[in-house]
Amino acid sequence: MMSHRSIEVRDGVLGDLWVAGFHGEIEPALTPARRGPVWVDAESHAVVVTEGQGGELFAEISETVVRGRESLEGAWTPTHRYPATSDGLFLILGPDERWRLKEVFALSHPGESSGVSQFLRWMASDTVQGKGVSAERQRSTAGDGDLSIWYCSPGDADEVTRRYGEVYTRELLKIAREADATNIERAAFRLWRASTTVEDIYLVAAALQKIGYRKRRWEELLREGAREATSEERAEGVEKAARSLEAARERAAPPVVSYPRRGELRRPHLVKCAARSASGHHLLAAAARAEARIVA
Amino acid sequence: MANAGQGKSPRTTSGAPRAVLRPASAVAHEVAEKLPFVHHPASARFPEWRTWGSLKSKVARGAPAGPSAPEQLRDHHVFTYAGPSCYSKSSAVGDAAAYFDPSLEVGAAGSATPFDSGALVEPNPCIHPWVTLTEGERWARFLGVEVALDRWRESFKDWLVRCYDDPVRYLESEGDPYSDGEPDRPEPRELTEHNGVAGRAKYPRCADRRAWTWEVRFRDEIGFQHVCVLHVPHEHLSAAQDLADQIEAASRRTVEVRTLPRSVPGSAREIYRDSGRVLREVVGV
Repeated sequence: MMSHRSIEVRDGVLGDLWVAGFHGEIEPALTPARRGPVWVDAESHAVVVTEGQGGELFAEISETVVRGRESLEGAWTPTHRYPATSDGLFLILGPDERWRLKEVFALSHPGESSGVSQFLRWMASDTVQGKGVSAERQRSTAGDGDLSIWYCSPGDADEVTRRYGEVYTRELLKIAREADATNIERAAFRLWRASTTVEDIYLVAAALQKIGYRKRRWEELLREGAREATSEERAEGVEKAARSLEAARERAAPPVVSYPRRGELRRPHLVKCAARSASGHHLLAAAARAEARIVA
Repeated sequence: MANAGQGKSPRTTSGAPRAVLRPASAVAHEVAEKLPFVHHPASARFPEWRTWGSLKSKVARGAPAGPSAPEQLRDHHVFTYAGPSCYSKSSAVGDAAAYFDPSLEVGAAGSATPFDSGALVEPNPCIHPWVTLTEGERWARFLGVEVALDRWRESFKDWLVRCYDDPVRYLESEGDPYSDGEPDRPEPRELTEHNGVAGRAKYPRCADRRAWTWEVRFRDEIGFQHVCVLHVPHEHLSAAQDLADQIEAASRRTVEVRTLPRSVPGSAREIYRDSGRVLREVVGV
């Protein structure tokens, strides 16, 4: 037998409700991911929270007592219990994200929320359960790595995801230079999962288009990921993103150098070659060494 | 306002766009003709059910059916909604849904009702004002409104016209499941006095929009070759596209993938909230 009752919200915390885990299960290859919480009351009864037309919240409480994976009709992942908040969600990060923590730390800024910095510090540690932060580490059911699980606000989830999006954008641009379709596809979907802006989506679509991913499928991705944009805006966005991918590729291409004959190498020529190259100073140094050899 | 801006908007003499108002019956016809069947597998995660190939009833999975009439109904059928993915139980979790093409019903056995049958005939019913009826009386009520599978779309279309000024509203799912898609003229009239928002204020327990969402039941099994849309959390897009490609190769029919918005956490509730949008896109209203 189920029953309803309204929920009292104090400072964003939902009365005597708790979260006991999240919907579905996550494989490390599918992170970053966001999951909705499984709510329970103080007696561990499963609860569904609904929002009334005036924004008031209601709890639909069942007789089912949530104790383990088998206690619910479906696939869910139990976690430690955390006080339920009105808009709380689970952000799940995998080994890919842990490996890139250093780069994400580098994107820290003075105005970031204490929740974000606490979470990232915990993630860098070896502690299983967060202290002062609703986070924990779990072995994935797929058995291929640890998951960092954080019950947080949408704003904090956005901030962390945005940073990974920035890191994955740089990686995609870098990988695009290699022209390895498998690597590009993998990098594109990593960015898809960490996307927070339509520009991220345009870049993913452009990368997939570039490697010959099925047209209907990348267009589908584009439509779903940038649903707030018009079809013209999407087309323009993908075109612009394709240009940035191309520019990244050109930067990496070996500079077109008309090799001078012995004795003809001059400093201005080297500077011109270096300017064309993304790693110009290396070329300049190498060429300077070559010049020394030529002159010698 | 019914379908303002649908199709090509003719211009007035002043050049301003003029909304095209289509009669409710024409919109109802379109919705009724194209609406797919929605199933949210609450008992499995997407990476698991994507390998199943079909959805099977309890009996088709080899388990015996219970002896009572409601148990026979439950155990011999696969349940879908012709409407938003509103299966919701506080004890049910899951994060994705499959939408089946209307062609599924060709040659299939089954039936439909303009509400969730479990809310009426299961041992703990929640549709008011019938919760106090005996099991036999509730079963008789169920039989009184049950429609055969080969006639359900006609009944559904007529019901949409009778119940809504704008039949597209039936597909609402973005708000409160207790008020989404609430009919302008419910059948019977007292349905929304005792369920939905009004029911929630009166009773400790009542039905949400399942009191006015059509349920279509298929005998034994429904195959994935009839899937027309896979609706998954954002991060599952690539895996869903792989499955869609496999189904397309086997069925030679188009299978589309829809995802939750990128900032939205995967859950049964969010699949419900987004399902109205997906249905409107599939139907084209």
